[in-house]
Amino acid sequence: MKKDSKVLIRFILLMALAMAAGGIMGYASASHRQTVSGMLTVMMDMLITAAPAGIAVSGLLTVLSFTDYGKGKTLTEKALSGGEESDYDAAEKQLEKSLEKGNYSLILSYTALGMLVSGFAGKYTATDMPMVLVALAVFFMLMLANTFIQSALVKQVKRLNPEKQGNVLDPKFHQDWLDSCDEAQRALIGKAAHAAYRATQKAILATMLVAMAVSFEYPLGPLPVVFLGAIWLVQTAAYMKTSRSEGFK
Amino acid sequence: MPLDNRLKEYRARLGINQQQLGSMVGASRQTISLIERGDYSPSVTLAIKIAKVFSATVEEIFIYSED
Repeated sequence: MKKDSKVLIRFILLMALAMAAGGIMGYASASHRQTVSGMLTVMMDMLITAAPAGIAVSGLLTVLSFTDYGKGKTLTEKALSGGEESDYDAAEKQLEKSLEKGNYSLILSYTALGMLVSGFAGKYTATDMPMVLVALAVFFMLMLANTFIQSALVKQVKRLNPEKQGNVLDPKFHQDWLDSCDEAQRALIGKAAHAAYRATQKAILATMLVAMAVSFEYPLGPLPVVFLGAIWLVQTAAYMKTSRSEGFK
Repeated sequence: MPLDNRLKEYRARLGINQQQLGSMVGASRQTISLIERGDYSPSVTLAIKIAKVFSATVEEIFIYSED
C-alpha cells in the first residue's frame, strides 16, 4: 500500500514536470519564434548534410562486425576441435558481438538513407549529386555486406548448436529459429523481447513528444507522428495478441 | 531464483560433455551450460530427465535454498 502511494506521488510529479516542460517550451517557442524556427531549419539542413557521414559510420560498424566475426570463427574452430566447454561460450559471445554491431550498422545505414533521401525535396543541387550517388552506392554495398555477415554468423552458430534451424534469407527465419530453440533459449528470447518492448514503448512516446514540439515551429507535417503512432499500435497489438493467445490456450 | 546444482560434478563422473548430456535429455548445449552456471532453473520435466540420466533424484542434483 505504502509502495503504491509512493508510485502515485512519483507519477504525479512526473506529469507535473512534463506539463511544466511543455509550458516552458511553448512559451520559449512563442516568444522567440524566429530564433527557434531558424535553429530548427539549420538543424534539419545539418541532418541532411550529415547523411553521408552516417553511412560512413555504418560502414565502420560493418568492418568491426567482420572483425568480430573473424575472431568468433576462430573461437568456433577451437571449440569444435576438442576445445574446453568454456570455448563454446566464448565463441558464442564473440559471434553475438559481431551480430550486435551488424544490426547497429543496418539501422544506422537505413536512418542515414532516410536523411539522404529527404534532401531530394529541394535541398540538393546538381553539384551535390555525385556525393549523393556515392552514398547511395555505399548504402547498397553495406546492405549486401550485412546480409552476407548475418548469413555467415548463423552458419557458425549452427555449427556450435546443430539443433538450430533457419535460413537468414528465408522470410520465415525468425519462426524457424524460435521453433528450434529449447526452454532456456526461449526464456532468454522472452526476456530480451520484453526488455525491447519496454524500451521501444518509452522511445516511441519520447520521439512523439519531440516531433510534436518541433512541429510548432517547423513544418514536419502529421506524417512522423502518424508513423510513430502506427508503430506504437502494431507493437502494442502484437504484444496483447500474443499475451492473450499464449495465456488462454 | 536459480537453483544451486551439482550438474557439472555428476556429468564429470559419467564422463560426458554438455553437448552429449543435452542430446540425452533433448536440450541444447547452451541450456545445459546456463543450468550449470546457475543462470537458468530448468523446468520440472527437464530436471527429471537430467536426474534419470545420472540415476539420481532431482534433489541430489538440484539444491533449493530459501535465501
